[in-house]
Amino acid sequence: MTAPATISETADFVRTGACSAEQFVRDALDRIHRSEPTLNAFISVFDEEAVADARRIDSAREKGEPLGRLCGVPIAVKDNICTNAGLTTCGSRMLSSFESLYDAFAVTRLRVEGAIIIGKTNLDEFGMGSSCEHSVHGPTRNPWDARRVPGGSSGGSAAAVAARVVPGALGSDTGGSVRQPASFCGVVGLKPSYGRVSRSGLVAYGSSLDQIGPMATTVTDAALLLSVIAGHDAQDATCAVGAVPDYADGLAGDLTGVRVGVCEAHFADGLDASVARMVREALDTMAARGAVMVPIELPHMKYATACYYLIATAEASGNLARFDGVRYGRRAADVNDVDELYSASRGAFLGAEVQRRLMLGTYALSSGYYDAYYAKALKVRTLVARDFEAAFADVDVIASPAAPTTAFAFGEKSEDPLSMYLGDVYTVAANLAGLCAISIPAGLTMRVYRLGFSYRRPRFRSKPCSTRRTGFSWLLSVTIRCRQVLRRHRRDMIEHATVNSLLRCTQAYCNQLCEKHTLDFGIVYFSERFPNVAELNQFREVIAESADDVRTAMIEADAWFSQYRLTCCRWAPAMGRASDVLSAQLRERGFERRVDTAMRLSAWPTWDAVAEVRVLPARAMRMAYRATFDGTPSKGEGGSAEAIAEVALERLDDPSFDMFVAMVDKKPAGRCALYQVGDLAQVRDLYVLPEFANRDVEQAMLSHVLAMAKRLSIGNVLACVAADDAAGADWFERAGFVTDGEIEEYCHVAPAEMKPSS
Amino acid sequence: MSAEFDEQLVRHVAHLARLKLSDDAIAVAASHLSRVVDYVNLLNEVDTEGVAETAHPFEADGVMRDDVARSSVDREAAIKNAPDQAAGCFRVPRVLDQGDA
Repeated sequence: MTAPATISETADFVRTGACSAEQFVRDALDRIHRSEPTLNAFISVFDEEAVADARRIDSAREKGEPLGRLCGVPIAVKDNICTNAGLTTCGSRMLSSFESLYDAFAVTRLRVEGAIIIGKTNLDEFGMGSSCEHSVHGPTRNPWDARRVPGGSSGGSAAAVAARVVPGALGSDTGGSVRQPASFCGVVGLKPSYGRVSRSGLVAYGSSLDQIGPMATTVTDAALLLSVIAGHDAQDATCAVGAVPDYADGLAGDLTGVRVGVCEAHFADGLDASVARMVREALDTMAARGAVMVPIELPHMKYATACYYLIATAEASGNLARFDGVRYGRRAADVNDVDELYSASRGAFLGAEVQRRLMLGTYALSSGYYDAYYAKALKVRTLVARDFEAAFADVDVIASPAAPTTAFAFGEKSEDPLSMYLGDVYTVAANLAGLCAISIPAGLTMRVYRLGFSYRRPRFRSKPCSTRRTGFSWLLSVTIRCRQVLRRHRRDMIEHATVNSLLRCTQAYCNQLCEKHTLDFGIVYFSERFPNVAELNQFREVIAESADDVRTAMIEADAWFSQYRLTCCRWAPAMGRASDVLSAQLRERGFERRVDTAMRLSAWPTWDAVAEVRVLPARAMRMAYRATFDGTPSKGEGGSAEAIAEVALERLDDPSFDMFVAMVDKKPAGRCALYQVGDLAQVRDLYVLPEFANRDVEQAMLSHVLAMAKRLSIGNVLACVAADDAAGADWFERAGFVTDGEIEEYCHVAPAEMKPSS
Repeated sequence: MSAEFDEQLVRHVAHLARLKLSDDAIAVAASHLSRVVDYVNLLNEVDTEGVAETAHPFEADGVMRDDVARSSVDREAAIKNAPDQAAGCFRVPRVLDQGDA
């Protein structure tokens, strides 16, 4: 049940023997089988072959034989990339029983480096689609919101990586099929330059456009995968001969002097406002790190989509001519002659979208229309490529949105092929010009909102989670903190309000991940080993259903924590409720149950603020904190604030949070509390957690937050108070909150230095 | 241009592409394709006078290799995916009329 987050970490574990490849593979298989009812990301899963491959890796390690760069790493492969084991169906009825004779070159390279091919992922039939709805195996669902598409055509690979079922996968990109699903699912998707990766073994769609590309959770992992699969292959005459560098080399460092081209036309009509804002923020972040923004013009960009759909379909009409019911694929019954054999087989076993594209391509190439369509598109392609050449004379990279919207709902575009095609506007040009391109999530943590799901459900519920989703009995988040951080400060330096607000944010993030897809609980950790919030908010997934599962998970968590010298101080069951099994386990391990009352705002209050409260963008808040605490820390009580500031500054330095709500009360002991709320404009639920040490200040803070929430039309404002804090509950009621059930927490009997000063 | 993408044209193109479609499928395809073709006519705006065609992202010179004999795919493996086979060959319906042979 251990799940290292990254490819390189997994390979390191196997290489050092910290965990066997077999264990990783069995864990991944377990995750696949548990998540498939929800996700439908896989077409086939290689249970036995994968375990056998993993044992070979483990045995090689025991014998001291050299291990590859991806030793023991489970990798999923899109089902239009050939593997010599199992089926390669391309998501098509036509190839529903097709067995490839060989591995694709990229798959061979993965195996040589020790990767375990664990299964084949779902796709739009033959790669033709942008939503993963056009597969004979049914649609893949977006792990963040099962009502939405994962994007396509490499939707299965994107969903599997986003759900952390596998740490990496291969997709293929003809007009954005790696980058757009990566964007919809919040993972990294890389389309290499044309010719960088051999197309041998990739079932052809548009031969002058197709490239196999890696998908992973981090850029470093994508770079590692590319370093493995890139390189010359005599089987593909269009494959580049040049040496393959280590793409992960040079990823560290800042952006000083990097010239980033920005085309204003990319932000014109049709781009969703929230996507535009997110991309602008990403550009600001790059500028803040030293990049130079350079306005560029790409005058033929608006013709790229039309150009692409003519060229891609024309090439497809030739490439898919091979599916004729003779050499492979399925054959229609009861035909009279060869011609009818072809047309009846293709009519019966190719899907409607594929047929539509084949007809468009055939039309564009047909007598009388060739010059008007295909030849014209080839000329426009030249102009698109020239635009890029001109731009790259002055810039190092060009930044743009990956897709005009976030993930859309199933059925939203399937009845209107043209609107689906137009969604490829930002990706197709790179394929036309043969350029490399990468899609990177614009944010982490609260930015999951960019993925297009709305988050309107009240945080706390009295019902156990099992009523919501079959197979996922409950979920939890575990928050832990590092012993060293605590030791460094005097016991009264740890301000629980500060820590709590952080824990709440990480827990909320974890809850989203758990609720939205396959996880039973996530473990959120933070420690000085992970010095910024983005890393701190990483999570480990655990799936647990029985008492034994819980026990195993806790033992494994302990082992993992001890590796990073972490101490578990609090279990906070998601949805405010732990199962009986978990509750018993936690008490056995010395955790005390504590019950708080959940409060929900039912009406907007009005009252006057009575103390200074600051609600500031992160950068301004950082300045304010430094101005407040730098230079003049007083002894004794003031030291407390200094320590808090030190902890807080780490968080303020994290670019993925925009806004902090801070309560600063310099009298008498420099207490402060910090509330992270991410991108407020995107937030539907807002969490506040007053500690009531200074009721006046708390009220002022809260009133400010409420005013802001009202301005931003935030639907839910939630809070919790200790069950024995009648005054606190009373205060919230007067402010317009109503009681909304109980929430449980399990606090460890804390070491002395962790207890708050009272 | 879309007006001309009627059901008759769809039937013609479907025949060229060797796709046997039902009448319903043809009607749906006509509606979808006429919209798409309408859209791609956007390219008519572009002045491409004197512009060379780009069929491929890179200048693809002929790639040569030494003419060395090597084994190819095993025959049985090569036909294992065939829907119909006989005597190590792909089998298809009769191509020539009986008696013409």
